[in-house]
Amino acid sequence: MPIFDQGYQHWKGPLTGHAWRWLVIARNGVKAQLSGKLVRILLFVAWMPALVLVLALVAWGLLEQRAESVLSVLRPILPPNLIQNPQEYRSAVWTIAYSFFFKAELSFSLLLVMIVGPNLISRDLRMNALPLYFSRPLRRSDYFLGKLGIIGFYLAAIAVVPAAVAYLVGVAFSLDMSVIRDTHRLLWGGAAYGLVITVSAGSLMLALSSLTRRSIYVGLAWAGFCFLTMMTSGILTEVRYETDRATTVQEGMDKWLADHPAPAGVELMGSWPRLKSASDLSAAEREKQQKWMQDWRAARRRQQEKAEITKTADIRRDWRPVVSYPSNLDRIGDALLGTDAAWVTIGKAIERPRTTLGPIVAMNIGPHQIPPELTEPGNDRRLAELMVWQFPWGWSAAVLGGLLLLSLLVLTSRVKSLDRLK
Amino acid sequence: MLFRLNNITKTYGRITALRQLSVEVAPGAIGLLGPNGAGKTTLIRTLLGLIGIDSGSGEILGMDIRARQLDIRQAVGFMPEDECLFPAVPGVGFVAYAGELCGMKAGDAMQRAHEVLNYVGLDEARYRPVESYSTGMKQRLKLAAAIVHDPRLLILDEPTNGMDPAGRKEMIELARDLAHGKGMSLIFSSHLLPDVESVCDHVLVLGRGSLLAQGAIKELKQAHPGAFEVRLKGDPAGFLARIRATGGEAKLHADTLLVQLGDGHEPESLWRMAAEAGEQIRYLRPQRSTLEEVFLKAVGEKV
Repeated sequence: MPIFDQGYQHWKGPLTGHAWRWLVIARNGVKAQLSGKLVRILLFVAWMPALVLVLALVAWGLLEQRAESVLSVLRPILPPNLIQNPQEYRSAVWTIAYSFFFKAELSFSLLLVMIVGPNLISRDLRMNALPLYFSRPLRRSDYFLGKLGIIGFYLAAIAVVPAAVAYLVGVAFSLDMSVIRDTHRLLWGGAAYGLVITVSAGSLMLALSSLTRRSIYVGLAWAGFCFLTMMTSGILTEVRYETDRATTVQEGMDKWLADHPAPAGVELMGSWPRLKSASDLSAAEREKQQKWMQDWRAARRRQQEKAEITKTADIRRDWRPVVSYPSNLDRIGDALLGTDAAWVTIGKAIERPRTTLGPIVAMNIGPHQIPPELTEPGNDRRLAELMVWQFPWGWSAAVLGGLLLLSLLVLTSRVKSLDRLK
Repeated sequence: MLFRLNNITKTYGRITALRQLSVEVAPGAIGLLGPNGAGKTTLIRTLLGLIGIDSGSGEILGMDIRARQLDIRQAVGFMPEDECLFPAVPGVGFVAYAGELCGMKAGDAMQRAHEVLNYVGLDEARYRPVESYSTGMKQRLKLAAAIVHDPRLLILDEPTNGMDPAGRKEMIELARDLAHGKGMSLIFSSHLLPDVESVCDHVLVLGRGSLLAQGAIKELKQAHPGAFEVRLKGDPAGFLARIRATGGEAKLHADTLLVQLGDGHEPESLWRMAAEAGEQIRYLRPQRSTLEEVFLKAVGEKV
């Protein structure tokens, strides 16, 4: 018993406005989640890519200042153009560095959401906390925003804030304020991408969390959703690619065989040649057989190259990557950061010397002995097509928008106001 | 005026929870009575601005129930009937969180949480996770969370549910102190009529979404003219015969006779009739309605 019991006292202190009540939910949720050891460990590990990003930006800043220590390391790795005019490629290199950083952080983000998110609503449902929330001066939107804010905090902590800090360090090491003019897009693009991941992954996780009172099922559903959509997309894409490639090569070879009938020393099994024994052939037939086989191999290689070109053209219309949830987020990230254009810039730096090199090599070693990669026409987009999703980013925006609407629908139907019968 | 409702109707599909309910209630301690499905919870939610009504209008603490819902919830404290807790917090964190949700700054909310927990009598237990609390402790905790922001009106929905007799008594004392000692208006919804009678001055009786009775408990429990409770020493047969002979009525209820005198007869006639029957009156008291009788009469059941 207290020595002096004051009893109940009235309270006349200041109150905050309604607009920021959601912050109370977010702040308390963040504090509660931080007490988990797993969350703290994951936060620590998720900051590692930021260190690599900082190192990359610092190295580039020192390269621009012609620091010999950095030059000696980078000269054997990078194309000569980049070494000679680093300022010209600054924007592209920074963008690519940020792109890799955000790709790594996307994986960490999805993992962090899986650890932080499942409890957010399911535990409130289990403990029947909703009447406590909604009988206070709170709107349902405050509740959702507060819960989303918890996820937003952690995603900002591992992606947006480290990206901003790395940017400041990069600017500091460049000793050139024009770097801000060249790269400011990465700051707002990164922040916007962080917001996209937060809203999309956060609302989806909250919707899943509102479907059951058992958090473990929510975590499993989230992992299953991310992993299965990624697997399905990968399988569909590969199956389609292999089928198209085989069809293109088959059609091309059928046509070639119609124009170039097999000589006496070659027997065809479908479009595959089988050589007859040399002892059964005359010298002239053997020579014809060898010549025809060389032509057949060359034709097949051409058809395979043609299939690759067709694939490159088709990847801009291929919907299969859209099935993967992480790929959609990744695609939006590429669009916001301008990764495609950055790879094209680097592509030019690599392709142009190569196409220039081809004729020089031909003069020295003869045209028939040049490696095929030196004879192909220059393609500035080759790297971009290899490194960046090529389907329209609008498809991903539509998929993510649809998932957001679905999540909001689930949330509003599962987290009801108290305007209902008991 | 504590609250005023005009022709409020609220339906859930084909179920009418409130049927053109009109009521005016002055500040004080109000008991809310009614059988299950009478519309008590819907009325409470209407007062809290938690539900959209189909028609009608009203105001609570001078605020329109349609237009100023958040302001109403700011000024009202609510202790729900259900077992509901903010998860994974100690008791003091629970109450402070409730205060912060009402707009208190974190430091103020924590200080105030300790004050109200002292008041409701949760001592060292306030540092334990709320999941480990007994039913009685949870009820006290919910009361503390409901009063942490010092509401002008406190709504308690079945506050003594699941509590042992000692805890129930303490809860009633707290409610009575808040209503009568601290100037807080109170709406006390309970099935336990003695609890309501202990705490409240006024009652509202609801049934099928309509107001069946309303008034001060003292007035509702009026004395019945010419009606008395009588206990005799011996066999009451002769006494009963004389009562009936004078146009009165009497019936035996346990060991007590409930007597209604005939027209024109004074209470003194009871002594005379007992003497004539050779009996002694050992107990005589004017008959008054209990709150239970008032309630049952209002909802249309016989005593």
